[in-house]
Amino acid sequence: MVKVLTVDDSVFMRTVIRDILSKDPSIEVVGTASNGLEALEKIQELKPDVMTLDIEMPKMNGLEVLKELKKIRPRPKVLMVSSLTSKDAEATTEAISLGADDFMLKPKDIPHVREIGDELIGKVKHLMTLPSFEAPHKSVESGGAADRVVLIGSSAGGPPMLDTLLAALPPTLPAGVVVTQHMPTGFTAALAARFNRIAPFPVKETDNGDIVEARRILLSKAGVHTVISGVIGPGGGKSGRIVHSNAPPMHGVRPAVDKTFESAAHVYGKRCVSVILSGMGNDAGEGAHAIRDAGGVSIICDEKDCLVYGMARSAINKEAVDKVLPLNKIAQEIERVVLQMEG
Amino acid sequence: MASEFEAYRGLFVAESRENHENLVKNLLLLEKGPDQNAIDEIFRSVHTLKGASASMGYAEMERLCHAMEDVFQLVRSGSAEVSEDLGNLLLACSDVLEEMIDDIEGGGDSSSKNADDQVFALKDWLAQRGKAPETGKTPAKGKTKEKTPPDAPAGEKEIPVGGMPEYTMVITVSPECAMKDVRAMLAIGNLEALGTIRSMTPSKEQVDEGNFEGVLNLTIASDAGEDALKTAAQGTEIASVEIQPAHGEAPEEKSPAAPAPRKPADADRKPGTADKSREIKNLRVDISQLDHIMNLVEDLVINRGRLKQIAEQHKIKEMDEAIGMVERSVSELQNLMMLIRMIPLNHIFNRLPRVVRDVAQYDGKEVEFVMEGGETELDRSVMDGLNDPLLHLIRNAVNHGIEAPDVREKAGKPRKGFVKLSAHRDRDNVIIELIDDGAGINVEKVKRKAVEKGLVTQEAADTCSIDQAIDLLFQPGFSTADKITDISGRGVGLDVVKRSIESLKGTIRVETTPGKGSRFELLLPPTMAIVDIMIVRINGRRLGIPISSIVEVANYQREGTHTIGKGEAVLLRDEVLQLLWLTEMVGASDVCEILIVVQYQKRKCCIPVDLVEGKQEVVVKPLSSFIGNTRGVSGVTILGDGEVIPVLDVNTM
Repeated sequence: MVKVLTVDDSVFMRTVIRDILSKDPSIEVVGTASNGLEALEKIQELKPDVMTLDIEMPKMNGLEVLKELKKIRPRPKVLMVSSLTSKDAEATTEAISLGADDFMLKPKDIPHVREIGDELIGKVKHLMTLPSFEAPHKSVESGGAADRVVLIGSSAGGPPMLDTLLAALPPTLPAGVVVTQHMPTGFTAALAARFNRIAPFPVKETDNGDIVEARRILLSKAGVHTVISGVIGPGGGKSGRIVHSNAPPMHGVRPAVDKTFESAAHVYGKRCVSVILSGMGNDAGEGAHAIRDAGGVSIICDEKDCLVYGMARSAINKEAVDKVLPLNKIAQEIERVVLQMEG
Repeated sequence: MASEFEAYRGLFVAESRENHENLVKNLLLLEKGPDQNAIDEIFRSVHTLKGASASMGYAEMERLCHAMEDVFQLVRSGSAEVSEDLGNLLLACSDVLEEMIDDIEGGGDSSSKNADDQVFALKDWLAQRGKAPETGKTPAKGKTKEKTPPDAPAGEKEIPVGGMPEYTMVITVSPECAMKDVRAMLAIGNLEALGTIRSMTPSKEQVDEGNFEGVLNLTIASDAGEDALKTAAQGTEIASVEIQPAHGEAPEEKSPAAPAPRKPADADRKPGTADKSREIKNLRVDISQLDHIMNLVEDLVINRGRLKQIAEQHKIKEMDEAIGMVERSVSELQNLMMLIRMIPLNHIFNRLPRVVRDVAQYDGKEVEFVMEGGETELDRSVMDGLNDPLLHLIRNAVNHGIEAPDVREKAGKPRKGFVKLSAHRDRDNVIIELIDDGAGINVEKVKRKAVEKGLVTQEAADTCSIDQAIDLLFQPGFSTADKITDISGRGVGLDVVKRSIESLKGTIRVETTPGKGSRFELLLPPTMAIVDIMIVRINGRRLGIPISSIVEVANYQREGTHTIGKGEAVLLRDEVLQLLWLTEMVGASDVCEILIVVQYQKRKCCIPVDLVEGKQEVVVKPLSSFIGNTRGVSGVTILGDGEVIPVLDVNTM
């Protein structure tokens, strides 16, 4: 049984979160708190496993709670519940650096989006599987401009899968990794910071002009499309460079996985492998098709591991799939395919 | 999930109302001067409103809250101040918010209230500060109203090539580069991934054939943005990349996202929600239904009385006991009904600071407004009827009572006027008091006006007392407003206030001291549903008289009756009291031995009756519309033995 403490200054929001979590038989909401001070008291009293934490609160806000939490053992896992604002996005990034384990956006349009409940429950359960936060120490050296690339497309329900997948990547992987995760503007910095703790090599949000390097993970910045441009290294080898495009949203999203996949296929040809994880909508199908056309390998995750199967299905419908694998087998397959590629 | 979520509607409304009130309260506080705490409170309220409305999928409300939050974020961070204009704008926004909450409470989703004006005004304000944060894909200003023609392709082809900005670029490859054409082809490939190359010198074919001297001139149409194009063209051994918008027209950097396909989606959704079954935890009940339940409870009481009589007649002890238990349940039910109907005055008080502020601002007056006793409870039906009269009195107090700041200063008063509204429970009544320290009522002006309007004769005006003069204020059609403003209604005067209060079985009293201010006192019964009556008998018929109007019960000596004109009067405690015979109603009686002295306002009279039977709490049922309004009778009630008796209304006799 996972014991959860729900912290939010809005009684409405507390009720919604509590009711959603209570639907799962393995989760018990043991208490709620309306501000940071109350939360700290309840942590001592109730010893919850997980705390959902709001940022804006009277008396003591979420970030201050995280600072105080450093002194508390055992410390509950913290799931930040952020509002969709640029300020909360910044605060979320800070929260991650202060030790919050994960974050999600406040439930939006619950009456019409069924998956929200599943996402919240999934996040809480997933937290229990994560190792406790420790300061990242990564000494993995960059492999220089990468001549092969791993592309991952992901949307709703994707972040917990990315945790698993990125953590399982071999530290010696001779390829660059570009992850395109649908996310509201501002929140990809926090997500990158979080992945950075989990993955075997450094993760950062893309900047315009970044070079795709081996043993580095780039997470597409939200609000712009990540397009991969070709660049020739000093040694004559072809590699990729991140270009942030302001083109309008595609399939209603920006970054669109299709933009990244298609441009990567153009630059990398057969030396790219794409992976499609959980996600809603049609994004990624055309991209996977382009990768396959160029001679690359297209992998999708098995349906049972995905919260939503829309994106993967769009690839199936375009007959753009080489392999369907369970989540825990994908990292292995990536390594195998990458190593087979001619240098 | 949708129907299940309806259960949150009540919670949402309750919390949103609280936040809305907090928002308004603190906006008003902020008008008095900088107040960081108020700013924090406002921000948090708006923030919570936004989060909750987003969760419930109330898009229009979310949009408005979002815009407000963006503005207030700047205020909170200290980089902007709340000017008077901004304060007014935010208050206007809060008004729309309230309408939205009302709409949602009624089962809507806020989409019927359009917040375009407010949202655009907020965005304008942000734009003027030049710090507009990205706020998702809100429609560009001046929102495209025209719909796509029906024959337009329906698909979501996002890239209208025609509308894309064009750029000219000059790409120069380093002179020392060995394979210039390869570099150029790479750059061309990269650019083609981002847009459409319109023209190029040399042409792609020429470059491909190796005819390339190191400088590429091209025009490209792309929506990717200047930085993207530049980055894509750059690379090792590219010496320089120059780029500028073609035709000198500035490209839209932040492309206004193609008109969001929200409208049709919303339209599609609407009809669906109406017929969905809902699970509702909070109910809104029409007060008339509660009245009906109350009447049924009263019927229960009556029937219990009958049963009791029957049980006594037949001497059935067990039945007596059972009836005793029924009685307890019924009285508990009755109490519960009363409680359900009682709500604190804050329900209407909370909106008043805003009213005072608006009127004061409109009139250019300065007013400090204080409220006390908002927790005092009143029956819901009384509350509903009290709202408008109270609003009118408050407006009057500011509009007519409080003087302009300069005038006040000359009169040796503080510039800022003082208005206080208080309420308290006084035995069986709730007393609401409105005090102002304004100019008071100008009695001479009132008299003059009354004469002008033909309400009284000049002689009557000259001789009438101050109280009588003040009574003139309550005459229909009287208004001393020098000019008609949109604040102090049009033609609606204190007479309407008085009538409203009286229909609530309440009274209104005014005291005034010229130059010092006025005091309005409203005396209201906490509930209209239950009335304490005295049951009297005349000529074998029974009548109810509300105890609240009775001041005394006395013995009647026929010999003490004096005839004055057409009427009769008695002398009681040195007071001449008119006798009010109810012969027309119940027939003549010879045995009248008791006088019931009733009072209405300051007038007293007495009703001779045969005997007093007792006192009882009853529900007064209004007369049916078939009989219509009868002066002197407020309704009927049913007694324990099943007899229907009229209840007198002293106010209208």
